[in-house]
Amino acid sequence: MAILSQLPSEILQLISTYVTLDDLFTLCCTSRLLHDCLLPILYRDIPFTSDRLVCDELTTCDSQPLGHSVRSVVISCRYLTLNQLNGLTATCPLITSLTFADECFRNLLRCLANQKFYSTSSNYNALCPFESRPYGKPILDLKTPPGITSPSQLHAILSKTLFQSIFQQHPQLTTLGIDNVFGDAVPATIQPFVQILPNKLVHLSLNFGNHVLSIADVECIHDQCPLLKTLSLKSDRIDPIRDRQKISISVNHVLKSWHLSTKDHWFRHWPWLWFTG
Amino acid sequence: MSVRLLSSDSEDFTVAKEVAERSMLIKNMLEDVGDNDNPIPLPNVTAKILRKVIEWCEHHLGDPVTNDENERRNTEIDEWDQKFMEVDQETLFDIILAANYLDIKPLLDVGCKTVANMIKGKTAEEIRKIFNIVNDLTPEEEAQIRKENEWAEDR
Repeated sequence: MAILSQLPSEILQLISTYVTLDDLFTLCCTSRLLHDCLLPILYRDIPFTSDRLVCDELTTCDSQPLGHSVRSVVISCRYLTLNQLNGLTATCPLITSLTFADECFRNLLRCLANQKFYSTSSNYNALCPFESRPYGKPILDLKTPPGITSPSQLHAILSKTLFQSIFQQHPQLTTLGIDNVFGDAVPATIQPFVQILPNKLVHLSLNFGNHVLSIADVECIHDQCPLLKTLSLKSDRIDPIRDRQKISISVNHVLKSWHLSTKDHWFRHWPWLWFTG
Repeated sequence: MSVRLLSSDSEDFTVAKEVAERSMLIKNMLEDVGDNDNPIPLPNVTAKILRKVIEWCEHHLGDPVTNDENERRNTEIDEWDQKFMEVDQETLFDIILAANYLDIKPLLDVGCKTVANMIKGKTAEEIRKIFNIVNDLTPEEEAQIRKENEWAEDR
């Protein structure tokens, strides 16, 4: 007679994908076999809410690091450091989905920008050692452009450098969410950032803060990431559409869901409404 | 066009080709061997389970085939399937195993969802009772597991 625990592990794992995280946790506590079989599934999708990764130093029943089972991470701790980001990449090398909540990324940019801006005084901040790998080195090597008069002006360029390294370290990424791409200072154009986005992205959610989003920006994202199925953009203001004949994204059949959120008044932008409709 | 299937306990079933082809395993086999009168042996499926599987395939013959994983995952079990799955646990697991072996994804989904529904919202002790699971964890081990993974509990 077949009983639940005699089902092959791939079927148990398949069943477990239909229950909630709570139930999955309970299943892991019922017996050794279910624990060993389902623990990697429990760790597929983890939060990063404190200074410690929940899978740190844990292993599966065959002594593999549990971090290798992680596919999706949502980072929502208040303060994020470069070292934590280094640790995340080392512990969970196979993630395909990465989400940064607003505050943590903004704080990280502030911290890095301050260090970079005041680095002549060799006033190193222990929170973000630049020599740490893999993310410290590119930021250390970054040349501060001339004409910078305040740390926040460095936010956009730091963001781009950091994400360039993240994309290099995690070439499997298909889902990306950044709740605040540019920290406190939006650059004149977002296209240099867009051009580093991995072209394999399938789900993308970006908040550009008070950047004035233009249809050219959206097209640029679309050209860079032709496999996008869902795209969600947020920008305080949007640029009026002048010539809607030239829009190519509206005939893209891959994109299934497209969402735009703005504080701008929609009635001034009815072509956008038509476009997002 | 019909196809003959032979269960593990040597019962011979004759079914319409379209019905049999709901199974990707059989579909691929038929493509390989071409038209042929010999019955296809299914050594992993008993007559009792094969009868159930055929009944399911006949009922769902006209279903559109969806390759969208999300869509398949998120649809609720329909009423007919719920009735169909009102069987004892042993039969339920055997149907799941057969669907897996015969590669009938939608039936496998329905089976797994049915088991998942039996698990939802239960305590560890209730789950052990329902599925006859022997708790081979010491209280210390169980406490350790709960502690290590407590982040998952309060999410």
